Amino acid sequence: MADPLIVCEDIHFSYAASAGSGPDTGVPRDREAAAQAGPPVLRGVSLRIDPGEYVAIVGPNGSGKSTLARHLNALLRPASGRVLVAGLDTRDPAHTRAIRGTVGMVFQHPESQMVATIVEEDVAFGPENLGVPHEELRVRVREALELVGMWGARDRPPHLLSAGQKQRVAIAAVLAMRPACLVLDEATSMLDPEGRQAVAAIIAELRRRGTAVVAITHLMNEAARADRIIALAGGAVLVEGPPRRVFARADLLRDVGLDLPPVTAVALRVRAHVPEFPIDVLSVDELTAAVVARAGRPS
Amino acid sequence: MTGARQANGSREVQAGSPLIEVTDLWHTYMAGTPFEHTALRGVSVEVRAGEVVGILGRTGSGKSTLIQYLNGLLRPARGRVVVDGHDLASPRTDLRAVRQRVGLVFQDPETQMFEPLVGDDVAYGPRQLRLPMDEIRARVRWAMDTVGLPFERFKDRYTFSLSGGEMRKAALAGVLAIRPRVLVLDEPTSGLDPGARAELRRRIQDLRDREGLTLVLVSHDMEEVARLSDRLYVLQDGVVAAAGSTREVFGDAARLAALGLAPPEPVQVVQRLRALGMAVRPDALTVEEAGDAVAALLGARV
Repeated sequence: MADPLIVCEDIHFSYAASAGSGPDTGVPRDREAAAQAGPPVLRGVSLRIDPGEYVAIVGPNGSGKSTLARHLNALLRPASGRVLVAGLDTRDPAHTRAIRGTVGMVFQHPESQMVATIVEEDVAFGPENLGVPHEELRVRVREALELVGMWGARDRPPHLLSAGQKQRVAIAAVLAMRPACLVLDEATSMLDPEGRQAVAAIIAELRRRGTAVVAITHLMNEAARADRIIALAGGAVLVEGPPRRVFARADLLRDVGLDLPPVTAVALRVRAHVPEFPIDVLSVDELTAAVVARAGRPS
Repeated sequence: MTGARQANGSREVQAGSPLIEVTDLWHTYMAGTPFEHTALRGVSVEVRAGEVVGILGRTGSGKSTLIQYLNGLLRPARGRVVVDGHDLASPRTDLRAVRQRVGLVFQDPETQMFEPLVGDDVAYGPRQLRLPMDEIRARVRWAMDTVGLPFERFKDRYTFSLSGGEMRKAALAGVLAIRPRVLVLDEPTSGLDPGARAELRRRIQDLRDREGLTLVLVSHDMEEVARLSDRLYVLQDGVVAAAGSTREVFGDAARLAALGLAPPEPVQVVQRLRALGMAVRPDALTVEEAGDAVAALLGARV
């Protein structure tokens, strides 16, 4: 097995314990202040992300998903336990730059990440700051914008783009840094179905190219496409594994307020009447095939 | 899953009198500049008392522009908007009266909360109406209880200490406290986790079923629209490209696909099976209905 890209070892975190982490956290200050008196947010999370892997992190609000995501590129550092990114410990500030070049983050609201008045410049901003030479910079910007399908809009001001287009530009801006892992923190929750489809296509392309993707999401049909799902509840890993295995634990998920993907929920409903009906279906195609296989037989 | 109203079919839509009538409405942004953009091109929409009207469409289709007309945030330059008898084009129209009748809950309304205490934030609207103190208190109590933030427990909480779902409910209570007859909800559950989303949907259903409110629902979430709406309008490039009962609109897969929308996945399953020649009930909309329809197809007694 290849060396892991990211390892979290028994990490604990509460906002009170690291009040000094400052504006870096991306968490609004008032909420951060509110959480000071609050309980620990992460209580002993251990996980690994392998190179090129697509992992979905799901969990109810308050389960620690976004806090965990911010540990993956040293926006937050654990109070105890450790996070290693390509072998580098996030607690050592000397590694921060290298870690953020390895793991890039995209948030729910792309506006929060936009810095320039023209799409092309916005995407160039990151690698330029890394000191990438001019010729190389142009290659990277073009490659990133082409990958997200926004090269044609390179001369446009970002604020005139649709929400979906802005999010694609925000992803391109991170990809231009050539990270080994892209973390999407609810990056599709504000997008329409078409916008979500576009992001799904980008993820598929990144997988083909060997870039790891960690997607934090509330959308179970999105999570169903990942190689692996990690479900968090109360700051700890509730269940993890391939989507079929995780969604087979409908009882466990429902207890913490998580849903099944709609197709899996339909299968579960069928099973209530047809005891042997399979529930490990994740797509419309799979469910249709399962019905056809049974309808063909005499009952 | 739980608390789902048997979607639509079981309950005949009472054809109430029209509360909102939009006729041939046009809207152009930044007219006369290089960025001129016509967002609405002759839209006609009707909202009748007691129904839930869903408005669908991709980003940029004109949904958000349209709903700003429903409570007079925009006033028609071309076309007609009549809200409960008030013609919005008329300079004599009392916009305050219109805004009391139609409450608008924007997307991410929690970002607009500004009072430190939940009770004060919910009371903001009724205070603006200069109601007597005990009436304000009664309305705030009712609104908070109705959305599931029990008044006594939540009125003195700090707004920033609420969870995402609670904040969304508090923002909804703030609009409810104005006691509108029509509630317009823009993406009411987006960004919430599944548990909070399911609960808020139940609350929204109750607003119609128990409180008798008329609802206009704008959402990207097809499951949600299928579950909650009686009738749908689909906007595309500022035009009403499809309209009808929820079953009719979702039943026409080809048309929906042409509009860049996919029906909810349970509907897709049923449509796929029918395309294969299977005798599955065609009008299932929700997870429960589709599951039962498939089970019946497989010979189960449902």
